[in-house]
Amino acid sequence: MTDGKPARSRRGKTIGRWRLDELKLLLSAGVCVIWAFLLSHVYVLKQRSLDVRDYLVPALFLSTCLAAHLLLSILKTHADQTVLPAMTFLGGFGLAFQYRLGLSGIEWQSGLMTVIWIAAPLITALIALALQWMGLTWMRSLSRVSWAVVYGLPLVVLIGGNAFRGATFGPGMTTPTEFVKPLVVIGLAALLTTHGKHLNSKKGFFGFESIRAHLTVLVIWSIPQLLFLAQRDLGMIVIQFLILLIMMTAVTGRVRYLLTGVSGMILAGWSAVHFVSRVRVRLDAWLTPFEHPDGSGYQIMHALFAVFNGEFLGRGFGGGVPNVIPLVRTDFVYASVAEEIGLPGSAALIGIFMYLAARSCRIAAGQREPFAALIAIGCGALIWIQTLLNIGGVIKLIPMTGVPLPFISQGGSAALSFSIVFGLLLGVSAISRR
Amino acid sequence: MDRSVLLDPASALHWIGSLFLLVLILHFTWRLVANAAPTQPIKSPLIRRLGRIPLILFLLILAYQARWQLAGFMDPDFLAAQRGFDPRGDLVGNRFHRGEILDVHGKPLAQDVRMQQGLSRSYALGGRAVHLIGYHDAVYGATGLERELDDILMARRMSGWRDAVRLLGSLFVHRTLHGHPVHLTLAEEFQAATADLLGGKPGAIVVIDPRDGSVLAMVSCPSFDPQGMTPDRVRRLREDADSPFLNRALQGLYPPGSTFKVLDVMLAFEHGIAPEFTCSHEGFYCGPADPVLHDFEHDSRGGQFGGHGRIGLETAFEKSCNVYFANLAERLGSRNLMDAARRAGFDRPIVPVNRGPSSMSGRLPNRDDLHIARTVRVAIGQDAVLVTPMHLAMLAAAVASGGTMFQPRYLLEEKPIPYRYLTDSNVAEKVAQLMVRVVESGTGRAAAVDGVVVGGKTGTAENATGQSHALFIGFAPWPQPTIAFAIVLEQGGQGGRVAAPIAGALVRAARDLGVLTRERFHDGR
Repeated sequence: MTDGKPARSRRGKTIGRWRLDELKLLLSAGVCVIWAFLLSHVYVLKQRSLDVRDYLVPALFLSTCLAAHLLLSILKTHADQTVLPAMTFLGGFGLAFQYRLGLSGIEWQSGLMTVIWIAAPLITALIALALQWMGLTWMRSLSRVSWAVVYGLPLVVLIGGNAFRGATFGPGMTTPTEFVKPLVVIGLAALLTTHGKHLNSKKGFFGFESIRAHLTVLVIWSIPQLLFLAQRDLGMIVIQFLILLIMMTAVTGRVRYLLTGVSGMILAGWSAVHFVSRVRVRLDAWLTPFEHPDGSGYQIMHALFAVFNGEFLGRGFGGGVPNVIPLVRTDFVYASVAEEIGLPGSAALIGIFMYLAARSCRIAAGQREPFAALIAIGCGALIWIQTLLNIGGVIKLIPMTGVPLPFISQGGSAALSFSIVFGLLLGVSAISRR
Repeated sequence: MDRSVLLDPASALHWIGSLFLLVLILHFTWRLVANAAPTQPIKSPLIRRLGRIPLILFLLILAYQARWQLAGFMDPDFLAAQRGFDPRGDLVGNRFHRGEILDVHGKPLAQDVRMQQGLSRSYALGGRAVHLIGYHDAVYGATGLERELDDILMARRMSGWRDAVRLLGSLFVHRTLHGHPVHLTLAEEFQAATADLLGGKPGAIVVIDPRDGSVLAMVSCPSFDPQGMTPDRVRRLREDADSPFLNRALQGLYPPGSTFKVLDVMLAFEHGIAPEFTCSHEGFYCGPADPVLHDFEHDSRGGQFGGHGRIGLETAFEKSCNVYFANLAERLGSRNLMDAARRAGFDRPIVPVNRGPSSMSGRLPNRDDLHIARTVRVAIGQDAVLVTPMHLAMLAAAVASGGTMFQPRYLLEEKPIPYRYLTDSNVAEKVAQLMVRVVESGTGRAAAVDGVVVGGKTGTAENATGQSHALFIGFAPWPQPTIAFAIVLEQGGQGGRVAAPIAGALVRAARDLGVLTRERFHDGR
């Protein structure tokens, strides 16, 4: 906001009671969402008359966003003012897009999901307020609980039977392991705050202190990864590994963790290609999808057709042909989005995700406590990793890992876990500005 | 966005509405990002670096998406798959139409037809022109002219600013893309008739216009139907011992056999000699350690052959007397022979005008000063001399056109270009007259056609791995030849008995289909 008044800084810090920047952005996002729903209603009118639910869902969602904003304003939070509007846009656009997919006859799984979308802004606001009121000490003491959940969730899913990618096919929340993502950020932040200074230490026999600190972090981190490996949830392991690398880089100041870690990951993938035939099939599907049009390359090929069909400006909201894209509600939703809103619209969507990720680094830079800074950095990393894995997989930049796009893909657990992530970001930013 | 929706008022309204949504989304994103314009730089260099990762990823993802969304049609594999498998193509008209391949009269030889799902390439001549035209398949890629002319057929070629503007426009609206058609120099009926002459036996025929190098027919046998390629069929074709995928006309290397004698008599005329030699049935004796060179009749007729006796150049050429040409080769020397072979382009690939498939490079002995035993074998087209049927057709064309070869041309739009100079027109005319006599009264009598003066030379090339290859090169009608051709029948037997009748049938087909009266530099317009 560049109105030049000295009373309000460009960073959106509020002077006084009302969070006006947030409100303005929120209204702007709301207009986008309403317009998207109205466009869909034109199509509904061709098939049937409008139902009360057709208005109710967007109205409820936008009112909870507004309620979250009012909550934050009334309780005088100094939290970052861009996170909630961004979340409003993502959630609202996702809701409208899933609604639009339903008009093409693509099945919508359950109504509970809509409820989760509607509740998400409130959850975010409440987590932020809780963090602000109760402070970080409370959060750090909670880290043992979060590790327990990180260990427990995949174990429960594994014992519970349906062991593929943490899916249990319950009502609404199909992948409970999604919650591991924010919890592992909290757990690692606590762990690294305690052991961080020893990681760089040269004390002890051959740097024993440093070795012990490394081992502690690695062992605690890697045990749940074995459980995910048993579930063949490769995307989850990649996400957590990258988060570990980035947080270790952040706490020690050594970029070599990131460099060696990523090259190790590529090396591991390369050797897996040679030893595990299933991985080779995946790799073939990624590198040469057009040679296997009916087999392994089918999904990615049809996703690329959709993207290609979008041309520059897109086919228009509701103008695409999502019916022919496989898994269009979940993994490949971005292919349909790119087809309908074109390259500028896609740029806006990726831009919002990446903006939030970059913003979290700015939030981290304003922290005095390392624990809070680590949480912000971890949340930011989670956002860009998840975006990269999903969108990169759809456009054939990287192999497909089956990771949902938060708030855009159908997936209640992913939406819930990301409302926790946004809540953590908001809370941490509020602490720094107190 | 699809422009056809503008015809429907409701859709037009929706289109404008969608565009407005795009504006709203961009406006929101802009305000969001502008709100975060940094006033204070981040102090920690590490966090600043970590914060740069999302920006880099944003650019990377967007660039890679644009590579599909805008420029996907530049990726041949992607476009082939999209044409073949994208079911939405017919719904929104966003399907790329590959240009047609047309014959000289504008009849389509290869064109897109709408199938149940996607577009499929249909070939009018099927297997009868598959080696020249090739095929274009979503899975198996492209071969032949389909591959060589891919950038024209896919409208990717840029010649001039108009094409550049079109290409730039098609980045944003793909529907403006429509491939260019190409006009070939061959005629559909003549190509079909030529293909039927081989009767399924392994071999090749190349017919070119000696006046401008236009390729009038090119056939390789055995062939296959380019339509309906399935993995199973492709595997069977690949395992077939007769290699149906091989284009024998351009990639098959054969010893030229007695057709090489055309170069021998050319050298004799150039040196102004027409000696007489005594050719007994004992053959030509090179040295105590070397094999004796015999006439063909020595083996085939055995005891009944008494040798050709004392004969001159004309009779020797008519009867294709090996012993005579061995004597002549001794007189001419291997350097001259190799020089003539190189002038005929036997040591290199035959490259067409601008675009189209090239032949393989011919092979010659790797040194010029050959021992006499090898020299005499080169003179009768054996030893290490290997050429493609295309090379032989070019040799026939050079003789027919007065000593100058024209570069093969597949496309009507290409201008004829003189390629190589073989010999001067007097010599060429003398050689051609000898070839006419071969058909009138020599080994090539089976190639004679009523009312058309045909010239030619038979060849029977010894083959180390089996029966001899039967060859025939020739031209018609003398004295103003409009076609020159080479016929090779793999392990077919004796050239005069097997290949010459096919040559006769070829000339008859050319006469009946009006190819012999074809205009020079015909460009079809």
